[in-house]
Amino acid sequence: MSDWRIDEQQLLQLNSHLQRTDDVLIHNCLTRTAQESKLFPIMPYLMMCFYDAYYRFPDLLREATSIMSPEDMGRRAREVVCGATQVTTWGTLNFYLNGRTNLIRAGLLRPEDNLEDLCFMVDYHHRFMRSYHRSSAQVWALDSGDIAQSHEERQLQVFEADAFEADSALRSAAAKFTAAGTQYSFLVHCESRVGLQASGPYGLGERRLMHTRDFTKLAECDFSWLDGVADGVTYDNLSLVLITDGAGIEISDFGTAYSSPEAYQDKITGVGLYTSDFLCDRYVPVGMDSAKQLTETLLQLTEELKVATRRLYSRFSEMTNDQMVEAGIYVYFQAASIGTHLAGTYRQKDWEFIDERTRRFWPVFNEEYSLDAYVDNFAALLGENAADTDYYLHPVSYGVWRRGGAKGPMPTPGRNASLVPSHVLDSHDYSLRVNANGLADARGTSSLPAKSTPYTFVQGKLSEDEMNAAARAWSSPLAQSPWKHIDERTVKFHWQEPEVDALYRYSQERSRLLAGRGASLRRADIDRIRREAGERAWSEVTVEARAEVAA
Amino acid sequence: MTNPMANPKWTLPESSTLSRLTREALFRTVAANLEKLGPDATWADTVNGRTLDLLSADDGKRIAEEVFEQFQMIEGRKLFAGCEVALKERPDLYVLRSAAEVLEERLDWPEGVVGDGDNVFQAAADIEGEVLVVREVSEVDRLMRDGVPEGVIGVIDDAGGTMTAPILEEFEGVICLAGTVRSHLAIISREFGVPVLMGARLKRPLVNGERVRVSYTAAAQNVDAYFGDTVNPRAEVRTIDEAA
Repeated sequence: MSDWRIDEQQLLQLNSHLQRTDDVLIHNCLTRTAQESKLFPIMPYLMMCFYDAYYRFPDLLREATSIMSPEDMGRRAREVVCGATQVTTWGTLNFYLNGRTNLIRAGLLRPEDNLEDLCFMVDYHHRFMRSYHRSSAQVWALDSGDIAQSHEERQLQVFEADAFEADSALRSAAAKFTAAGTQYSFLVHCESRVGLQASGPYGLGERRLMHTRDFTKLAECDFSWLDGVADGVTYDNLSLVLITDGAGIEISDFGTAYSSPEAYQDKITGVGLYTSDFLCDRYVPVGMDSAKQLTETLLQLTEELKVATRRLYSRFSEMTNDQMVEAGIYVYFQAASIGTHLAGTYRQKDWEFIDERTRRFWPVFNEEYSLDAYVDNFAALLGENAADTDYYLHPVSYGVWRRGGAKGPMPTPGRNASLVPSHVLDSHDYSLRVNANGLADARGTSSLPAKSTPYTFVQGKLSEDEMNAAARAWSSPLAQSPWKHIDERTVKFHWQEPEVDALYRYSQERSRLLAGRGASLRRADIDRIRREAGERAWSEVTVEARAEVAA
Repeated sequence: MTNPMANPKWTLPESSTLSRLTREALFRTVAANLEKLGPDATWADTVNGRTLDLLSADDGKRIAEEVFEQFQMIEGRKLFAGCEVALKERPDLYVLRSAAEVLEERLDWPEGVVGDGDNVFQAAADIEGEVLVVREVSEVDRLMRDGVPEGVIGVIDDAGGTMTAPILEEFEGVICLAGTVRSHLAIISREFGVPVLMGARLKRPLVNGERVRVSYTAAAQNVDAYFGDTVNPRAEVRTIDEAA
């Protein structure tokens, strides 16, 4: 048994993290009122995945972090699309905490139980997110007004310089791809948005913004239901770079991009496309030799996704309810798998069973109770858990009441975060970890077919052993000193130093316009380089100018 | 041993009968099982190592049956399901939530208006089309094979992004009887450029073949309305015949 103990400073910090996590959760849940689907049993799988997360995430992530620190994982996620995204990392903490909440409400747990696990999970999340958002130094997108920046200048310059000006054909192809990719992703992920990710927005001056849309787990990957169905999907992850003129973009903690106006497609002026995965260290351009090639590539990829969508729809419509609940749980549960993928310790069997401690709740979480419990626990904040005292005001519901003119009764003093009581500083009568014997305590069953096909990577199809061996053998100068500690602040005042220049050249190696340019580039240089290549600078590409050309 | 979580100083009532019944049954079961463990058992030893003694798979089954029985006595109905396969497998337990359609009695709606909804995005033109009600997965399967007829406005009751996934872009427009402008269906429709009304209210059910005109040119609903900001006027659904 661990002799771990918490001190007062750690406890107060833990509770403040728990409360902030709750505020962000409630804010984001408030606008997601439709929680049912005709096709998928969303609410049962959502509520029960929380238990599996509670019982198994700490030990799975402990194993991964014994090989690779959360800071290194965040660094990898910053460089490429590797599965650890804004929303999967959000989910890794929140699914665990929601499992804790559900167990407390069932009378099966006290807030102080398994305290070492709790601290570990919060610590893992915050360390990862701080590293992932190194330059903006934030944990939550909400804290910066739904801005979720992760890329650094050396990457953004490549995206900005290499994007092709969108004529009507490219703009249409990009819009079709985004639509088909979003729809397919929802289907692959059992109606959840876990496979979608966005980064930005990044200002390009005047009314121009750039943001990236990532589509993950598109090809044969960790989900057995894609075996065969997605064999015609070429890339597992795709990143679309969009430059817009005159559209507001916001990106939530769920990793979803929203625009104003809502129909933003006409505002797209530039497009780029890349792929990557956790065995890459940099983005790989896709169809980026010319605007024509990019247009054709996007249309071809759209067709691949449409075919897979129809095949997958048929596969899901043949599944039993239990199988679909399990599939949904695996989707959410896999949110935490990137740690083991990066560390080269991924075992498919660890992620494809329902723990017996979860399975006992199976009949209880019927369709209606699952929705009611979700509303009580994570939206209205009612019931047994409520607030600790009746003096509490939840910042989200109170804010709505206040902005609505303080009319009507005050919102109920609900509170979702189960803070850890301070008496743990004096009395140590609580358990530290949920699994005394680690993952050996986790046993369960599955009714879904086991995964049978290899995993899809930029370097080709790999078996589980080959994938883990490649992950363990992975190395990159980006992850090593001195480059790994060169951030935006370093660049600002040390951009003339050879190491900084070498870092930029490495990031520019696959760029069609910036290869070999180095660290001295500013926006005016990118404009000049584009003009020299016979392309317009982004400042010249406005929606109005486009309309004039069309006229 | 008594359950240390069993007697809080205060609570708020659950939002539904089903939530209350389930919570009470869970607590009763855990309390009874704790009693069986005897006076020497400690919570710290029990909470993880003997958690299946506190609540077993058999307990789960029994609680589900008991709660359903009590629920039916109080509410006089089966449980609502959102998912079609759940109903197909357990017709004894479920009725589809969408089958319990609530119609609006709106006296202030102008003549000819049969419904309204939150516009996802402001389209360039209103759309007139023939209603096609799509409520079942098998219907989507059929349309996937045969194609959606031209000039159709789909009426669906599922705000998710998957139910109509293979056919969504074939509709001229969609009227969705559930959800908000941030639901998955809204996100996808915006990407496809297919106009959609979310959270539509109707004063009578729309039927296949009738022609309607939807004011998709209305302003998109303000997402900040959920946080107390101004609510934009909802877009209207008019029947062509009644309007004439």
